[in-house]
Amino acid sequence: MCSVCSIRVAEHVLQVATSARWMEQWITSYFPIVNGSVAPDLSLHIEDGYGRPFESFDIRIDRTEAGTCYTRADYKLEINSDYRTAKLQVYDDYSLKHALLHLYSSFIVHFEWGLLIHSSCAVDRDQAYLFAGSSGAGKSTVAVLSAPRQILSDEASLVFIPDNGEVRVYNSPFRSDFVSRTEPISYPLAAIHLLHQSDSLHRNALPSSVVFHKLMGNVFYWAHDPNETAKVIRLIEKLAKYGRAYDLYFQKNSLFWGLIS
Amino acid sequence: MTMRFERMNHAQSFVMDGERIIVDTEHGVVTQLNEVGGFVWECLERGAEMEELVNSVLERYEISRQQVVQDIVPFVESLIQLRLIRDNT
Repeated sequence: MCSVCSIRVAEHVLQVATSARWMEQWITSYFPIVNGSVAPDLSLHIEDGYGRPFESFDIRIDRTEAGTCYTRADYKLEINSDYRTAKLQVYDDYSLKHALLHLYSSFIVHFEWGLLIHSSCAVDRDQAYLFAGSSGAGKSTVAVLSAPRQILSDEASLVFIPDNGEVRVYNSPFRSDFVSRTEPISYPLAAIHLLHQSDSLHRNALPSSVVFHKLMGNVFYWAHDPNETAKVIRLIEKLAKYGRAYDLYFQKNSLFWGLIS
Repeated sequence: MTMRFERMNHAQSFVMDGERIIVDTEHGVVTQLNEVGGFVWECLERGAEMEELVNSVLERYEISRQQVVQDIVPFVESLIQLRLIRDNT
């Protein structure tokens, strides 16, 4: 029997239908539930029993008039061209988590709402601080060192980027270790820090053009259409021009908060 | 025959920190131009011919014609190689 529930991610309502009991339980464990009378922004049907265990991050992309299909060894994601309906087939909970991130990233780019950025994010004095960098730079370390501050993300920050007005970072449900029912609260973005582990503690302000280049490599996005890529570029441009950004050279302790807050 | 150029549809550009950034949205390649390069790009976006391009640069910057030609021609060729513009002659 197919169950249907509505969940919230940031400002959006996703209606999820599945006949797999374990998926229903997984989804309702990790995402806040919304009253079913609220009109969904995206309707999603999920099935299990697909493919084989994770092999690599390689994804094949096929485009038709009906929409776009992304195929990985452990999941298959089909998004309609209107980005209002999607079908997902997964192997296990690991692939379900990745596929949902993929779907949501495509959705928010299509409607030019914002970006999922490979970064961690912590809140200090009601403002959000993003920490980005290459693999191993210390994104997760910074999140751990920021305790007891609220952590909005440890690997995928959910950033709302309006045409005008405040850039805000939402509490992201896409974590390396999922937390229960992340409520979709948000905070204004104070600054972006590009991380470098160092023997000394200091930071250098960055021009917007450098921030743009750096962020290009830190966005969760699977290029499939030049028009959609153009939207990503516009969003990164807005974010790079928005506010303060720095190279942050930090030691493995929490002293960097004295420098940045 | 005069060369005339056309920006490729997938080449998206904007100005940041006073410099022109061009993104090839098809291949995900980012090209950053300095002030003179940015000015040349703006001329190319308007569909300038090579001779118009040279004259525009001469009017704006205090450089010899010989220097302009020596710099602009390879620069335009590199933009063609990067598939950001095409020779529409």
